[in-house]
Amino acid sequence: MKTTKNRTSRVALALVAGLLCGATLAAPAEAQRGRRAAAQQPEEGDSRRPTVTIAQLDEVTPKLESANTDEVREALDLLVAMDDRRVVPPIAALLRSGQQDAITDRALNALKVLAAPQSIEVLVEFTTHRREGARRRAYQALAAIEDRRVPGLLERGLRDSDRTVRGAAALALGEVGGEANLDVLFLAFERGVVEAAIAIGKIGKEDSLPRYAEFLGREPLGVMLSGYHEYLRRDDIDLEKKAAIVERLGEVSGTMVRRFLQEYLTTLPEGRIRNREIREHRELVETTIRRIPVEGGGVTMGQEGAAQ
Amino acid sequence: MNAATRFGSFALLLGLALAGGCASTAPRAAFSYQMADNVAGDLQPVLAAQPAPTGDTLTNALGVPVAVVTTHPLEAAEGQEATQAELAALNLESGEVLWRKPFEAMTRPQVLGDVVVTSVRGAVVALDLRSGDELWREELDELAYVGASREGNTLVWVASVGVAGGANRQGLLMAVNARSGSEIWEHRIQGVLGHPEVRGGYVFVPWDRQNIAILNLTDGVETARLRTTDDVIGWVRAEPQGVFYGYRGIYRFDERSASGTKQGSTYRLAPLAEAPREPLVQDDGYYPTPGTRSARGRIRVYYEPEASAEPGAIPVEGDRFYFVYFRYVFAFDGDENLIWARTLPRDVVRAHALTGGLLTIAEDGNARLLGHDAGTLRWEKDFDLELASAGLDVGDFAPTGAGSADPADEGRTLRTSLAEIAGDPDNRLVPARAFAVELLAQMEEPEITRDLLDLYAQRSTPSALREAIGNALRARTVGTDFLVTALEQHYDFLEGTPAPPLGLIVPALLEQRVDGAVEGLVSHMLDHETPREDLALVIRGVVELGDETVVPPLTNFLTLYHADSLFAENADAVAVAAEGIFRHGGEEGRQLLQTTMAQPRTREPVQVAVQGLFDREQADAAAQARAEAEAEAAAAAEAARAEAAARPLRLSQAQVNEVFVAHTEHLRTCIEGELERNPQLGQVRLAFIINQDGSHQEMRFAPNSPELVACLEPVMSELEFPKFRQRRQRASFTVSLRGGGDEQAGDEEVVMGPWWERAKVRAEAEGGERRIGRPWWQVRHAAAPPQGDGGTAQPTQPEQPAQGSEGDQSPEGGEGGQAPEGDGWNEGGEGGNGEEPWWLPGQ
Repeated sequence: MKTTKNRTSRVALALVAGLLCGATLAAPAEAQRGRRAAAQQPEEGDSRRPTVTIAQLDEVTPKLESANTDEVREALDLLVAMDDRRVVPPIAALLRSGQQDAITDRALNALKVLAAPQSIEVLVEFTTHRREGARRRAYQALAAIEDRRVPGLLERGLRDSDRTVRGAAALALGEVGGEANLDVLFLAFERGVVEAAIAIGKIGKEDSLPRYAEFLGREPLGVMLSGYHEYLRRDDIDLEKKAAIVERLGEVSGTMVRRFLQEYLTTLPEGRIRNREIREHRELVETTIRRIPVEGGGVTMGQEGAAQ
Repeated sequence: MNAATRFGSFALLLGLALAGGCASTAPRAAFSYQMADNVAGDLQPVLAAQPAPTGDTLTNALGVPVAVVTTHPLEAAEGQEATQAELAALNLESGEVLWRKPFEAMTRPQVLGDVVVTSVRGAVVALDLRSGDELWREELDELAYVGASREGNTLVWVASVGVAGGANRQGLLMAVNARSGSEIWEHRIQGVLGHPEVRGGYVFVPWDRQNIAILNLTDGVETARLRTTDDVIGWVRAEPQGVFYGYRGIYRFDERSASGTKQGSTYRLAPLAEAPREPLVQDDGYYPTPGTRSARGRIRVYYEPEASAEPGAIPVEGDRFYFVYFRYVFAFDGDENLIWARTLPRDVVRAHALTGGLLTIAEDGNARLLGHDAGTLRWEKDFDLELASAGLDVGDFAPTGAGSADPADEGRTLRTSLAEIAGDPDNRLVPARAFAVELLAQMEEPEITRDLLDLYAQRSTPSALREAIGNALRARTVGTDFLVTALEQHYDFLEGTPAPPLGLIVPALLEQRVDGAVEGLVSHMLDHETPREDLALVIRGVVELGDETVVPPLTNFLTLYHADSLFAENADAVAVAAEGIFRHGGEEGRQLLQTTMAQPRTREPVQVAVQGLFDREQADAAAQARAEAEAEAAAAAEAARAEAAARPLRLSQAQVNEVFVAHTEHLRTCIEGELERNPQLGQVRLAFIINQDGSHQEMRFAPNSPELVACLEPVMSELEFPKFRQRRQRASFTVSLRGGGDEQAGDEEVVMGPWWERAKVRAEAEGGERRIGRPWWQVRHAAAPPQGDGGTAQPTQPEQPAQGSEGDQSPEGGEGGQAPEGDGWNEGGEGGNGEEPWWLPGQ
């Protein structure tokens, strides 16, 4: 019996470890949830697929208090594999009891995977942890939770003194934020949080484009293009507005813009396009690209860098 | 004839005189080392010649307030041509430039009547005040012109070298006709001379930093000499109000000057001694005053002595001292209370204290009068010159017509003025800005605390000023609410709000024991934005100002970080939190600490710190117990010493007898037994040595029949005598069996009855009185040592009797002890051994 249990634990551990390690900064909550679900689905034909259930909670939880860090890690992974909000309190207790960095970080990642609103309280506590790695993970975990409180909490991360924390919060806001968070994102962008450009590009409405365009020439072109990239890939932005972006970038010109537009062109339909608007938009992009000189003229890469 | 030529002639003449065997022993006319100094009689003619003090008056020939200035040459710049150094005379009243001429003055010009005296490289030069035309010039060779003074047509000037040290120390004092420069007399000495002053027909010359030679102006003969014995003389100043001298402090020249001491003279302590750079009240008279731009002279105290001074005092005109530090001006009253302060646009090259305030001449050619009462702008003139130095003769200038009012004066308070200086971005002047901070912090307005916090928080504030602010805030007892309020601020990247200056605030809160700050401190303890370098201090604040209510947040902090890598190397903050739990957390807190310490994941520095708390407590407890034990032991020792001191030096016979009385019954039994065996027995005598602790030894019995000895020895072994100070003493106890023959009974009333009754009465009668009998060593018939096993120990060696008092007693003691007395000894002497001393070892 003991052997079976250990084997079950080890396999589950292997599964969830991969899951935790694969968690990325800006992955949308939906995508993360999708990955988690996939991770927990037994592979077809794999008769050894472990089944860790919430019924084993009382059995796993005491291991969190072990002096053996490997055992604690294993317990954490098993709790994640249970995929039940009832595992949040023991993980929260583990965090609050003060752990070594690796355990703390793993527990925060576990809460991120679990994405349970019950973990908001403890995650908020860890947004003020003195170690920036812990704070960053706490914000990432918060971003994974579907809760109306989350965007407001993420805004606090933009006020953090650590650049990586601010960046994480900004990217997270781009995933879960909304129009209400746009002002603070623009403020953060104004203050040099470059990740805010992506967030603005993701959540900004059409009327935010002129405001965003004001940063052209003030912020590095690469940063600006990251925001425009998000605007252009969205379906809820009119082609007319996208055309304005392309024309504005055409004015800026330069190798970087040319390459950017060329990549954008690849996302547009090719060949015979029935939709006139799309066809005209593609033509606009092509025309703009042609107008940008290949060598010299416009803004060169070196000059773009200097603009920073 | 230049100075060098004259000096050569002088040397030649002197050489000739010596070569001719005319080595005179007569004292030189001045600066002789043989001249007596501080001779009151010598001072009398000088003092008598001094005119009565008057107020400050103009002395120049123009009769208007005049400034003769040197200008600073400017290089050509865009839109501006190069300028050269000039000398110019300014009429301050009219704002008119009287004349100006290219002139590279090396020293600040002086206005002396109708002459302006200054120097160029290698020469002293006199110019006409009215026209600026050169009147005369005297070459100086290697000497440096120091300064001049004038009375009537005679002008005296000094050039010197060697003030900064070195072997070459020379001084030249010349009296010349002011207009022609023709020599009247001169002195050359191997020593350093300072700026001379003339008043009342006498020349006052500071000399070698310790003396003032007072010479007759007419012939240059030294009339008197002052020498300070406990100070330095750095300058002499002759004014209409009198003659003053000193260095940091100020002396008035009067009859008391002959004392040569601060205490004996009319002396005023250095004003504003605490001001930065220890400003002087006069320029150092031994150094040339620069005529080019220089920091020298930019830091000065200006004042004007009061004319109507009481004898023995040096009051200050208008009760004002003005401290000028480049372009800051501070005005103090005579008690050194700050009255006002001002910041000027440019550095002050020269100032003069007037009844109406302070006249300042700035580098930009701006002359202004800052009002006596509040420092407001009372008058100003712009001469549009880039000044390097200015010599003034302004008397008590009282300009008519107000200058343009400075709008900045509106609503200006002392607080705002000081805050302006403290916050001035001119980092050349940090010492004065720190001084302003210090003065600001002494004011009562609570808002000043906030001002200082704001200034501290500015990034441009230099560290020296921050340190001054920190010191000032710690000393402030008002405005602590602002310190607490400041804790409400937290770092915010988006708002651009920095963390409050916790390194400044927390020490001040601790110094003032502001308990109300605990909440704010806790919030900063838990705020990750609190700078690491301040964190331990913040938690220290929580611990020191908090009580048991701070234990939960401290516990949270300790728990959260005890295993974190942040504190792997330096766990000071966590250690302070643990200390707080240890102090305020009671038994529960200690258990928590023990648990934390025992956890394997707890960082080693944290474990060490927590263990240290318990160890220290144990050590403290042990130390306290040790201290208490030592205190007890000391008290016991003291009591023992007191008890020992209260003991008698030795026991009296009565005290010895009292001990035996307590054993009367037993003694009677033994003696009755002996009487039965020896009916003729007249007396039983016991001789022994009593040790200082009350024990006894070397008991001898007479008679010493074995039966009696055997009977008495148990009794004797029980005897315990009172303690006494002497190391040991001999004693005896005699039982007279026949009555009347007992010498010890002496003159006592005869008591009828058995011997023990009589013994008791005798003991009572003798009381504490010691009866002095013959010295025991004069008794030839000593008791024999007891026989047999029951006998007391023999002396280990013969004891030699010693003459004399207690002080002569040998270490063996006993000498001078109670001797076996009287004839009774012989009466019972059956056991005695004739003429042999009893102390000899028995056979």
